Amino acid sequence: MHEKKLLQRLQDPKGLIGLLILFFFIMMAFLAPMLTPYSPSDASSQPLLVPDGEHPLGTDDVGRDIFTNLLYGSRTSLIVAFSVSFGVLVIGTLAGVFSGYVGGNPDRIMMRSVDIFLMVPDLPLILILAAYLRPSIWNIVFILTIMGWPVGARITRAQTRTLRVSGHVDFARVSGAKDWYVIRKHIVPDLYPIMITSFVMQSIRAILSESGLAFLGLGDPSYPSWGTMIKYAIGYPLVFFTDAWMWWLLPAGICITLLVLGFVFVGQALEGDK
Amino acid sequence: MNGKELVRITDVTKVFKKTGFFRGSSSVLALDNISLSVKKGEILGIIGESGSGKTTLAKLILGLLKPTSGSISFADVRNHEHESRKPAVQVIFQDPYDSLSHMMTIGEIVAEPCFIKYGRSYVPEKVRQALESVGLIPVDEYLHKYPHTLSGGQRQRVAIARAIVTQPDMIIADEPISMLDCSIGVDILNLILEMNEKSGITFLFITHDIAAATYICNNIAVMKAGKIVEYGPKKQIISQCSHEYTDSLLASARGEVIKNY
Ligand SMILES: Nc1ncnc2c1ncn2[C@@H]1O[C@H](COP(=O)(O)OP(=O)(O)O)[C@@H](O)[C@H]1O
Ligand SMILES: [Mg+2]
Repeated sequence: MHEKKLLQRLQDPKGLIGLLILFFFIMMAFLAPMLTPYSPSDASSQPLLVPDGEHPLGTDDVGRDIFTNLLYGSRTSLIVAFSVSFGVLVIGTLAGVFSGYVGGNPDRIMMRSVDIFLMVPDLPLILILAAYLRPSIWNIVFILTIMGWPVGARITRAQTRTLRVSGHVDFARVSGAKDWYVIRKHIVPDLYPIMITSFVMQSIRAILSESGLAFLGLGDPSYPSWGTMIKYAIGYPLVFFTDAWMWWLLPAGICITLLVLGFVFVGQALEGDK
Repeated sequence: MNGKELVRITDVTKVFKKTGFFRGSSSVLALDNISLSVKKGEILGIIGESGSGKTTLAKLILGLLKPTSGSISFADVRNHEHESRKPAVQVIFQDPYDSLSHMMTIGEIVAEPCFIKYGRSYVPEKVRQALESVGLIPVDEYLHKYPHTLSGGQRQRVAIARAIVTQPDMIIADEPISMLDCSIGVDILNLILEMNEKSGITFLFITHDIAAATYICNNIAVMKAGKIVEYGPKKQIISQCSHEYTDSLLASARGEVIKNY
């Protein structure tokens, strides 16, 4: 399985739909300031307006434009998703390749610490840490990366160990290749497929965790988030007695679901599922 | 070391230690006090059943493993300018599926030894020549293909091409035909013979198939359980073998030996 094949896989309908969804949200994040005249924290409008020309999705209970918050919410989700998966990718791959390649005692120590990280249940720890640290988006990214890299390290390490004793690596060594050459040319390229899959998985995890934390009130107040929107919508006592839930609660839920679905489709297409 | 020898292996022992967390440590004696010499220009066959330590011996000579005790020394060879240097050793592995990186094209795979040796300034023409000489013609058709599009025999030819591309003095072929169909295997054997005759490359031909060994080797060493139990010229091994193990190998292959010999 090499790069070309990987790109070919993305071309089946599922992969294309997934890419389209991701592209849609990325555009939404980039073009947010152009698509709406308001700022997400601007609470100067009438509260609880019904959707009209000026406010396509109405306003919330403190007079913020819901559509604006929805647009900027995709920024937050994508920033967290990409930062976490990038962090996990870099740390996980470095640790995994180092551990698998060097072997011996460094490997044993590394894998035992990975095991400890893997044993600790994710969610409670994330909750505790998020509650004690300052509620900042970068703290959330930090926590999710710290809790995510051992998964990446485990799989890259396993792959590195099989590659290290494979014929083509032995051949390169016999031909005079140094460790650095072997890692760069024979090991890392072989990890691309699992790296991409792990990127997708971590993105999904990050999006859901960020929304979840925001919903529980542990999000960053300066970043509008879909999770926060759902929290305020549900917190407003009358939301289900009027039609407000249709434009206040539902769109944020749909956005989270769609974005995750986009990543799931891309992931499944890359893995070759039909 | 006399003038005819290229590699001399003296009293080499190799022990693999396995340290498990719970089972304590166990060790495998893969090579047991082996002495052997490879002469310049010959094809030396190493025969033995699976697990007898053939691959371990190959890896020791290649420098991929370190001997537990004993030494392996190389005679200096002279090139055309009469400078002496250490001989270059290359290898062809048993499994043509695992020994070619599936992330590289055939062109990149064959160029790799040159690239490692000379950096970007290697001569691309050498790669084409190597592919031509193993019969992968027209070369242009193969250069940009990936290994997974080739058959086992073609892959093994690629493995041979990249072994000869830097013009080594010696090639270790570790069961190069055991995973191929018979008829394709014979082609590969002929290729090895041809390279030995034309370019004077010394071969260490490892096999579990005595028929293949008798077809191309000058001398044969028979291994069993990490020891060399018999060594001599091919004719002597076949006609007057003294060890019962060689006898049993011969008996099981008799039909083919007569056909090929
Ligand atoms: N890396 C290794 N670690 C532990 N034991 C090994 C290793 N390589 C080979 N062995 C053991 O050494 C013995 C000889 O193996 P090998 O040289 O591969 O035999 P052959 O190539 O003749 O089939 C076998 O018993 C095998 O289990
Ligand atoms: Mg073997």
